[in-house]
Amino acid sequence: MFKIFGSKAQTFKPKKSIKKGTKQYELHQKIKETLGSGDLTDAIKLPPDETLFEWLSVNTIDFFNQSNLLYGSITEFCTPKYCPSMSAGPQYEFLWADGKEIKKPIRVSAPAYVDYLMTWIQVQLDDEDIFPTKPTEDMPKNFLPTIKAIFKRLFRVYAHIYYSHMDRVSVLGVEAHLNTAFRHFYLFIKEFNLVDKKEMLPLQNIIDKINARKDI
Amino acid sequence: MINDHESVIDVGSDDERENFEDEEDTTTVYSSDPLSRPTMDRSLAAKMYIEQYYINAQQSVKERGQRRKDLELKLENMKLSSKESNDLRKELDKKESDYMRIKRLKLKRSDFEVIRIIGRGAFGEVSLVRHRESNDLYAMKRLKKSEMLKKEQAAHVRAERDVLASANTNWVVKLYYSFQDDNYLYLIMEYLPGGDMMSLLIKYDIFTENQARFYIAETILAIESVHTLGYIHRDIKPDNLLLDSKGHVKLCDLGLCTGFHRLHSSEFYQMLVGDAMTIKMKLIEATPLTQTERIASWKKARRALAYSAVGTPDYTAPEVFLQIGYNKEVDWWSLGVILYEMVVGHPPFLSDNTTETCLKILNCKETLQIPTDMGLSKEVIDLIKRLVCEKDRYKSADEIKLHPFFKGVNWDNIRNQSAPFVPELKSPTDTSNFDIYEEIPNDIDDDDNNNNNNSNNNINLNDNINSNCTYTTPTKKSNIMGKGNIKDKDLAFIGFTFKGFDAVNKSPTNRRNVESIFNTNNSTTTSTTK
Repeated sequence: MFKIFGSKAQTFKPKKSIKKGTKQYELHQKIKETLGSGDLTDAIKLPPDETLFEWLSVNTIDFFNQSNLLYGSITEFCTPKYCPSMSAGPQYEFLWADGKEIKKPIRVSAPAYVDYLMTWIQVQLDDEDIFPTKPTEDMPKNFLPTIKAIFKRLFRVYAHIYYSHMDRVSVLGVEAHLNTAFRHFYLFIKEFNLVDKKEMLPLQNIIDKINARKDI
Repeated sequence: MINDHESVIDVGSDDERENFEDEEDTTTVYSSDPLSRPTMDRSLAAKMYIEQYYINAQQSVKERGQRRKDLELKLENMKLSSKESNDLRKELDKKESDYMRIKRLKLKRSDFEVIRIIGRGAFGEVSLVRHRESNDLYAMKRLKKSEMLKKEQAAHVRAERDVLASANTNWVVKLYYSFQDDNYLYLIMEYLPGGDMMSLLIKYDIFTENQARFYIAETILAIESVHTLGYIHRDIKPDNLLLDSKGHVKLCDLGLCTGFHRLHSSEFYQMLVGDAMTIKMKLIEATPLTQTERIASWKKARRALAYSAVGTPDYTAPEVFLQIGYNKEVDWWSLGVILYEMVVGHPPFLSDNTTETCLKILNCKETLQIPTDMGLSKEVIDLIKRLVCEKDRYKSADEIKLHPFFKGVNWDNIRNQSAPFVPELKSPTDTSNFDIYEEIPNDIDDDDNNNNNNSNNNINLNDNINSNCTYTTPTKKSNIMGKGNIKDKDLAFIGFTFKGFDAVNKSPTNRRNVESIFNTNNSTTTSTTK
């Protein structure tokens, strides 16, 4: 059903006209290495003597951007008609609640769910009380719970894409990018224990493949 | 604390069958639908962003490790107490943390107060600005996206950002930040109050050979540092040689406001060469201006010429025109032309128009004339010839440094010597070494447009997803990429945003600190007057 990590994304396959030794070819090789089998360890582990707060903060923004853009690729097909609920296959369905405006979980279509989610995340990232940008402040009390909530909910976006839109992802040539971004996302979650395992069951098959790879 | 009322619901077999049927319908629809343009654009944006992200991520890890390694190497040589060493290590760690925090900042135009415009060109302008929060002074280059795209300059400004972002040398102007909004790209760069070499040449007309030697030597080191980074500048000329507060040379592309690799399209060069061949016969017949008149006309117009989109090819090597494979030598050719201009008073291939200039460059064996009545030394004449128009032109900095014209130059220490002309500066914001520019009324309109765009909560394809919305109602416009069409111009500028390590402010302490250790331009050596 899934082509995992073996697919060939068009944008990093060198064109025939790109000669070896040219900067462009080297760039393509570099991209291929990164997306294909590159070691993400150093981009995940907390650098020596870096604070956990700063490391989690800057990476959260990056993961938000990537998932936002990836979902943007398939918004034309993720419609209330075809995705009446935020689901990951027949077994999983996610309801939306943010504990503020919508305190009781409600069933909404997938595009509405992602809309709520991305808006909510942006509000958290802009909140100076949770993600302060001025120096000499300790990690806010709400920081870690907020980070975990962000990662848990972003996971559902990946789950929805994998279960409902892989045909379209493949046609658009985004599959390798999706796989790389998710792999990075998952390994980061694993490194810092940001999401409960039961919350990640919808993508257990993919996760097993990631964990089985030699270079991690 | 976040109240989490979400739940995962298992559904029964009836729903299971129902979902399967839905998937079948979806597949049928998919196979017959052509991909829409917005979808393809959004997919391309996602791919470009992710590819760029992982390249940057690897680079970032390497650079951080390198900074740490560099510090340890220097600590070994400094024989400090263990307490002093540990203090310096902690200081570097603090800077790394501050840098990580700075990465999360979403910079915008209003974070900077414009003090004065100091340069203007075809695609935008350069201003002296003050960062409102830190009070630091910067040069802000602002480039209009629509103009960049019209003239296919997007790749070049990206190249500039890449070079400046990777350059960690005293010879290249520092890039601290780059960011964008709907209409503009912004480069926040080191401010160099001394103006540029063109201004010096306009002011003094001719340099002595000693003065020229100093500036050419520094320019050699600047070009060498760019070549070491793996780049060819391709646009070396007096207005891209900036002068710092003490009159030393730094390489940039401040005045022209085009990319670091300003590169005419191959069509432009083909047309120029074709025109040059056409008028070759005519050149013999007519000389509308005497050389004296031509020089006077050129001097009057040279600053204006520098600001045109096309510019003047006076400093361009012939192989660039011919679009044959060219290499770093093209920069040394430009250097030779500048040297000629310094000691003679005007460039060697001066003409009435661009086409004639091109023709003269292509026929340099006949057209390179070095005046014999100015008392130039045989060393400077020989050097000019070896840089410009010889069969075996100089190919590397090492070759050039050995030339007898540079006898006595202390290459390792020249930046600590006094420059022939030291800028006179009355205050940190003194811009008297720059031309005066008037405010353009439509700048105000642009600002209003920017404000409107911000309040409209448009989807911005910045690296840091931008939004000024506050969460009020569930029906508010969303941040999802798909809700709005990604503009063509945004595709061209993915990956532009950057924050450099040098953006971390210096620590206020006066004692020895990390900054001074990493500064290769230690001022422990006594200055000597040339």
